[in-house]
Amino acid sequence: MAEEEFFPQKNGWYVVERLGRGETSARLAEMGLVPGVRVWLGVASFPAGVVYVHTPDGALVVRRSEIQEVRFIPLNG
Amino acid sequence: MVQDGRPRILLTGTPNSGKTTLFNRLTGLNHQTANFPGVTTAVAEGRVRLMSKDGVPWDVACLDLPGIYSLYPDTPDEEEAVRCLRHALALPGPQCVVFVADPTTPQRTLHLLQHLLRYVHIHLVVFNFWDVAEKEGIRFDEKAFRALFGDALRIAFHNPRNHVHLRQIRKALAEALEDGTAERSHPLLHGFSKPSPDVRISQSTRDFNLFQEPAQRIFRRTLPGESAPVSRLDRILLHPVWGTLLFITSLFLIFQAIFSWSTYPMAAIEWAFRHLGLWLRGTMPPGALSDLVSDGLVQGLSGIFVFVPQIAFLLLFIAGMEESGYMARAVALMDRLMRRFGLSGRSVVPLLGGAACAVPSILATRAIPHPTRRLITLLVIPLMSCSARLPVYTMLIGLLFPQQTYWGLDVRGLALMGMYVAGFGLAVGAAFLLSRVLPGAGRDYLIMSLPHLQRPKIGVVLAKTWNGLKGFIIGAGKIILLISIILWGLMRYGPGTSDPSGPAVLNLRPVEAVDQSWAAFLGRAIEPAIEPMGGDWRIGIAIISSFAAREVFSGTLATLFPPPPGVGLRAHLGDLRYPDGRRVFSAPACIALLIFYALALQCMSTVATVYHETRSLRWPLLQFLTLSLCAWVAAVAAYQLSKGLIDF
Repeated sequence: MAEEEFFPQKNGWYVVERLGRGETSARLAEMGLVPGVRVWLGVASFPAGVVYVHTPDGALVVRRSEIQEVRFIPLNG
Repeated sequence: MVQDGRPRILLTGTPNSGKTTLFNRLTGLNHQTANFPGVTTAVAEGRVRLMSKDGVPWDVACLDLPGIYSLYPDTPDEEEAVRCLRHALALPGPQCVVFVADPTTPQRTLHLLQHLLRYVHIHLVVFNFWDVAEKEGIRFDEKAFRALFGDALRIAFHNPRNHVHLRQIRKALAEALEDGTAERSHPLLHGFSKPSPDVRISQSTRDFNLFQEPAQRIFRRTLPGESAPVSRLDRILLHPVWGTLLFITSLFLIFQAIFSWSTYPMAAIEWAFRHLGLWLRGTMPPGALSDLVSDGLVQGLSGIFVFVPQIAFLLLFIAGMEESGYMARAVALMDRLMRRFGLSGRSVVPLLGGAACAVPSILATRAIPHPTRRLITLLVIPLMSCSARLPVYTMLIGLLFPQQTYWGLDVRGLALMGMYVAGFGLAVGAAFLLSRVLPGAGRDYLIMSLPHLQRPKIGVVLAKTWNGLKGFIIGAGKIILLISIILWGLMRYGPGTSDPSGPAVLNLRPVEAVDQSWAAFLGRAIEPAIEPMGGDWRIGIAIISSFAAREVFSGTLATLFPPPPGVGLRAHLGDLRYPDGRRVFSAPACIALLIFYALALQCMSTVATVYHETRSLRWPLLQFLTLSLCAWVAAVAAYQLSKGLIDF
């Protein structure tokens, strides 16, 4: 499945299901984006190419290409 | 950095947890702080005075390390932090490792604390910005904390406005250094290496899951948290259209304000120096010393001090943007645009910081993980219009444009903004060219925690402005004093004119006219290079004297063209004419000089910093020679093209 197909296209609450295997994922995990964490993703009406991630420890801005390797699932289904 | 076994304190913690704020409070120093992560990119060292058990004052070294998320570095500043931590821990003698914790990011804080405790013996945890935490309704449950981390760990709280807290921290530091545990060995020093990403992910996942529930007990929130995941303000500031418009409008207003608000203080400073010169000339006995002081030193210093209000406003606005947390939003807004030019979103802060001073901005590039993008950023930062260029620009723009407003907009303010935009354009243009030439190996990413938006604290903003201003006045003042004395000597004495065909001889008698002086003799030697860009030997001397620091240009002009009593420098320069009736500072000559100063790398501190950061002579030399040559060629082209189009 192409990454674009499962990357969230709408703002909303999601749960981190799993991370990729690269160093970027390792850094994201050290900043609190670990499997099971509930986050709010801002993908629309935010700077192009950047994703806004609201975590329990506050907000992050992550380049869209970095966060592609994280698998999110919508909180309500 | 400490090299021996002296007692030392090491401050560590996550980025933006306020380590430098605590460091400044403990040492009395004034290192740069700001409300965004990654401000501290180099290790700072200071002295803390503690009181021993016997009541004897005790001076201890204190090291402020760049922030980290783990002991596995991904960026040059993190590598520096871990390298220095290992180096300092390996030294003999008492030491105290202080973990500076941000209670408003509990899980990330506890995760790093747990991670560090595996490898480093931590003596003290300081919960920083406790005033902010209390305002957010956070209550600390010590019992819950002890249940996880044990009883041995000392804890303290820090509210930057509370002296009682600082006394408690000093007491805890002295106790930790004296109790004998401070020399305990650290696992970090034995066979430590960076694990694979998989291991890092599994460690972090385990720790975050472990602290998810306890973090809520340890830092109990008594007030409801934010109801929306994005604040209304962030929805505007980070909006691709409104955010960008707001960013451009802010910059536009800043440059309008720099010109219009500075008019009266600048006039007052000019008036004060003019009268000081007159008073000194009237008070001191006539002679060489009186000439040196009133024509050399006072004129030279007035050429620098007159621009202090404009630089103060620029620094004030930059400090305000940093303190409010807006800079991090600017990074997110500009990331995509920056990448098109071979830069990174993280290049935005060093580039914008370059509008104040290139030297700390070059150090700030350590937060850029990609080595090539970092190199490109530090090579193009000198093209950003720094505060040292401001005196040159305002002088030349003042000569080029009359003071006029159209629809309430100051024309000079618009021109100044144009120079800053041009500087930014040149920087990204050069970055684009460099990205096509330099090899692009390396990993680049943008993952940044957004600091809270806050109303900038007036005291902090003013202190930062004052520090920047002090650095400018002292740095430029020292050079202008020296150059004023040298210039005065070169203009007062000459090579001797008794035999024009013979060799130049040392003549210690004052010359009758400045065109017989050593300055004229040397200036004429370089005149062939200056003439094509519309200047004469005097402007050549002003350019040469400003190669050490560009802000010296206006001071040198003030010494070379001393205004008559009662006349301001800019008015005097505007009226100067050559014998054939042409204006010395004609429009084409001013345009050529503006272009020359926009491009030339006239700052020895920048050259030295680039050398330090690249550990190579090749880059600073290449940068200096390329920019100087480009500056001269562009200035000559601008003068030759515009002299036929614009009236003199």
